[in-house]
Amino acid sequence: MKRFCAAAASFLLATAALADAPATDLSRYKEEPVSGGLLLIVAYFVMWLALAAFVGRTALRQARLEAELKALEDRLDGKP
Amino acid sequence: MTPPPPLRPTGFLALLGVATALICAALYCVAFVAEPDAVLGIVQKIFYFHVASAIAMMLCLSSGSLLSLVDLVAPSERVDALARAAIETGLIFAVMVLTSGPLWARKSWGAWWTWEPRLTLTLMLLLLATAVTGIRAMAPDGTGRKIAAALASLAAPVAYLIHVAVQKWGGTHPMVLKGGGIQSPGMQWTFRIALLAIFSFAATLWTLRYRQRRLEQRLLNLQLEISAQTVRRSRDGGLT
Repeated sequence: MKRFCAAAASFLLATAALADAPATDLSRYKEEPVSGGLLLIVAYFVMWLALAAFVGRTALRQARLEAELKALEDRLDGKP
Repeated sequence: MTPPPPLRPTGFLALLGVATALICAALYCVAFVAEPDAVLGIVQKIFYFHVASAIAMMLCLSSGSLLSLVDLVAPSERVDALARAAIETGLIFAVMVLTSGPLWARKSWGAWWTWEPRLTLTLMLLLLATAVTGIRAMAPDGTGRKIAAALASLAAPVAYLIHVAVQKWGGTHPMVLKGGGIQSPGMQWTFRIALLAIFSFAATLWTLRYRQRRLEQRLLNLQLEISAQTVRRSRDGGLT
């Protein structure tokens, strides 16, 4: 428990120290030539793609689990 | 061991229906109701889902963190399933935040990424959630479960630091909500609907993953029961 508390305190202190680092000077960056509309479409596409991939993966796993569960229940009931 | 009760899908399907309807409404509002920002232009429309996802990420990971702490102190299958589902849901929203954010930043700040407090902390939270999910995938029970729960318990303090980062350390992130950045009614309503949509979607994903975890636990219980039956049968057969 002591070791965990020490590790947790170190992690949080390191996190705070990292956050306190001087911010990047943005004046050296040039303006983005790509249109805002394209960036908007890409952002929404990537966001929904990530969500769809997660939902799809979860749904497939759910179907596999339900089938496995049904087979096991049948086996327990002595069905062929 | 008592098996968990069968899962009822009615409530889940209702939640899924509400989430889908709200997402469609939010997308409509983003496209047709909210006006483009006067300074940033159309790219500002990333804001509605980006900020809502960030709030959902912090809520899911903080809940997962607190539930992991409870599971660490008093282990329970139900709490473990809830915590794991919350961390995984939070992780997917963290991915959404850290992919949509740089695209917006490129246009408004001129840089894909800067090591400013809020971004750095969000990256740390994403890595923490990834580590927890990875550990649980590799070592689902025993020591792995304890290590993952201990790591996950750190997510709530980091989420709090993200929340206060701009006030405490400044940085390039604007204070849009507290600074009164969205003033037009169209923008405000769009943001509210997007927030509701993302929250309901987060609740749906959380429920889905929770149900799945419970199903996995039920499957494991059944497998144990079958093994016990097989051992009993072979022992009885050997005696007669």
